[in-house]
Amino acid sequence: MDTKIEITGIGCISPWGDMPKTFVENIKTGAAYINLLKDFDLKKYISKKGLRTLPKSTKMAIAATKLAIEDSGYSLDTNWDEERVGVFVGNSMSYLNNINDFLKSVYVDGPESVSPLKFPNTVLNNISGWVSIVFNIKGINSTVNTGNTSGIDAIIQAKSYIENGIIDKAIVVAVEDIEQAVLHNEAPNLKNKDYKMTEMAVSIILEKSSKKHKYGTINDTLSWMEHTYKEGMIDQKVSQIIQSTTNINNIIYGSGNKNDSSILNFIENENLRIKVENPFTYIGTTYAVSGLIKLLIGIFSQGQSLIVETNEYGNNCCLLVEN
Amino acid sequence: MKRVVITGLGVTSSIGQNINDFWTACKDGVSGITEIKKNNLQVAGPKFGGQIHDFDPSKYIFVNNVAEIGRGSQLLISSMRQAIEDSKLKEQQYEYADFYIGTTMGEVTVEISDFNIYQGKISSDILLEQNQLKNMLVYASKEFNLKGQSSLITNACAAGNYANIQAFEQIRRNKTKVAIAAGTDPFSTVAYYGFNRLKAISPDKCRPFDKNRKGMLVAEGSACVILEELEHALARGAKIYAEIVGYGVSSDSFHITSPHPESLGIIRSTRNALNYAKITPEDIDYISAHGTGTPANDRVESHAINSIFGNKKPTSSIKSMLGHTMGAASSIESVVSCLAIGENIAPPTINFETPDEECEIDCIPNKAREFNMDYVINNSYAFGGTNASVVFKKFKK
Repeated sequence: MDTKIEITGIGCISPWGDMPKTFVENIKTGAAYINLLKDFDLKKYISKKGLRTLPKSTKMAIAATKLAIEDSGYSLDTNWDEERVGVFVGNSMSYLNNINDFLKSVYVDGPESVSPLKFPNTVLNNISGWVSIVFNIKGINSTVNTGNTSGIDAIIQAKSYIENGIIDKAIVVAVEDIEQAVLHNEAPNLKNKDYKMTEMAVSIILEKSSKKHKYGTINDTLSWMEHTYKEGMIDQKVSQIIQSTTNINNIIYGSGNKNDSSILNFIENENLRIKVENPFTYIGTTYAVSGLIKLLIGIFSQGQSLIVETNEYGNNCCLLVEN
Repeated sequence: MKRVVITGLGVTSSIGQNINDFWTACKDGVSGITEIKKNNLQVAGPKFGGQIHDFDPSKYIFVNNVAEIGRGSQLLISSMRQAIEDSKLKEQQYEYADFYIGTTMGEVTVEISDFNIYQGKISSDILLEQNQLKNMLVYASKEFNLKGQSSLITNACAAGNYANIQAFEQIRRNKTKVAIAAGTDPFSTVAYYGFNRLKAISPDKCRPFDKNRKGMLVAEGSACVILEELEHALARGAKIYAEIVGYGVSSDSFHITSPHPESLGIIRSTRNALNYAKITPEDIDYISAHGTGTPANDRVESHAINSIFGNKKPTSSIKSMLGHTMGAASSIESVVSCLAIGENIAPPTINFETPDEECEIDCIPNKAREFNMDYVINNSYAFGGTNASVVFKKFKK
C-alpha cells in the first residue's frame, strides 16, 4: 500500500458552475450533447496582467487552480513554502487548438508575421508553466499527456514526487478545451446522437500529511498498459483490487470504450454489493478531465470508491479514494 | 531503497544512428547540421538544422506498420530497440518494465503542419487520430509488448530528464526491477517557425558559450536508457554503464520562455540534485550542459555554473554538434553522460572561437578531453520554466 495523500482543496470550472458539489449534482440532469464553457472570463477569477492572450485551456486551468487554492485555505500571498509545492497538469487535446491558431497565422500572414506570443502556447507544457508563474509555484511544474487517463496519471506523478520527499503539496489540474479543433475533428462522431462532449477544468490540492481531512484520501493508485484489447482483462485487474482491498463501496468507471460493458458485466455477474456509477453516460467524453470528474463523484459519495479510467489505446489506471 | 544502474543505451541522431557511431562522432566533434530539407518550410534562403538523413525505420520496427506511424514514434522505437538489445534483457525480463517517454512537440507538428492539411486536402478527422500524442506510448508498447506503468511526459526540452527521474524513482522504491526512459522529437516546423519569430535561431552554426553565438538550431533525434535495479543487473551479469544517484527539479515561476535572469530556478535544480546525491559541487567532475547557444540561455546557465561550481569545472554542450533535439535532448545527453563517465572522455563544445566574459566557464572547446570522472551532472531547462538535473556516478560495487 502506498502513502495516503489528502485532498485538501478543489476548484472546478464547468458549464454547470464552479463549485464541485453543485457540479456533481448538476451534471446528471444538466448535461446536453455538447457542453461548452460559454462566456468564460478569467478576469472574474483573477486580476493579473499579461494573461489576456493565453489560450482558453490555460485560462481555465488558472481559474480552477485559483478556486482550489482558496478552497484549501491557503492564500495567493503564499502562506506556504513555494519551493515545496508542485504543479502537475493532465491534458489531451487542447494543444491542437493552439497549434491550429499558430499555423493559421503562419499560412495566412506569413511565417515572419505570426505573433511570437502564439508560439509558447503550442508547446505542450504551457499550462503547467503558466500555472506555476501565476501562483508562484517553484517546486516543479510538469505535464503528462496520455489521453483520457492524463488526469489520473498527473495525480500518480504528483503523488510520486510527494512520496519521494521532493515536494509537500501538489496542485493537480486536468483541463480540456474542446471548442475548436476537437469539436471540428470529432464531427464524424457527432453524427451519432448519443455522442456527448464536455469541456472543463478541475484542479485539486494534494498534501501528504495534512491535519485537514477536508475531502478525502487517495489511498492507492495503479497504472498499466494493455496495448491489445483482450476481453476480460480489465475485469481481472478490478477483481484483484477488490479482493486485496477492504471496503470498496463504489466503483466509478466509464471511458466510452469496450471496457465499460466488461466492468459492468463483471460486477453484475459477481453479484457484488458495490454501487456503480458511469458518468460517461451522461457527461460524455471530457478527455483528460475524465478521471478527475470520477474523483469528484467519489469524494462526494459514501465510503471508499474505486476509480477506473481506461482508453481504447491501452492506457489503464485505477485509483482508490475515500471520503 | 534500491540502487539504480544503467544497463542499456540507444541513440538515433544526426551524427550517428547507433551508439558506436554516435559516440565516435561525438568525441571527434562532428557536426550533424545540414541545410534543412523540408518541402513545406516557408522561409526564405537556406536554413540549417539537425535532421537525420538516410534513417530507415524498417530496420527497427517489426510489429507496427511503419507507414502508419509518425516519425517521432519511428525514432523512438529505433532508440528503444537499440537500448533493449544492448541491455541483453529477455522479453520476460522487460515486458512489465515501467516506461516513460519525454517529448516536446510529439507527432503533432509533423502531421498538422503539413500545408496540405491546412488547405483541406486531407480529411480533418484523420488529423485527430494521427496526432494523438499518446500514440507514441501505444506504438512503443505494441512494438516491445510492454505492459508496465507508462507515461508520456511533455515537459518540453527537459522531458527526457523527467522520464529518467520517473523511471529512477520507480526502481529506487522497488516498484519495478527494470524501467525504460526515452526522449524523442521529430524535426518540427512549428518549432522552427516559433523560434524563428523569437529570433532565437542561428543563421548557420550553433556556438554555445561563444561571444558571437547567434542562437540555437532546430533538430530531431531520440535516445533511450534502460534503468535496472542493481542486484537484478548483477544477477544476470549485465554490463553496467553508470549509476544514477540523484536528481533535482525546480520551476522558475518567472517567464514562459525566458530563464530567470539570476538563474534562480536552475541553481535550485542543480543544488537539489547535489543534495539528493549527498555530494558537494567539488565532487562533480563534468557538467553536461543544456547549452542551447542562445545569448540569454548560455549567459544564465554560465552564471549558474559559476555560482555553484566556479569557473574551472569542465562543461560541454553537444547541441553544438546536434542542434536542439527538443524532448530528446536530455535523453541523448544522458547517453553521453554514461559513456563519458565510462571512458573518462568528455565531448567538446564545437564551433567555439571567441570567449565571452558573460560565459566564463571551461566549455571544453572544440576538442574532446580525457580526465577521470566519478560524477557527472546532466542539466536540462525548458519552456515553462521547468528544470531538471540528473547525477550519474561511475559504477562501483
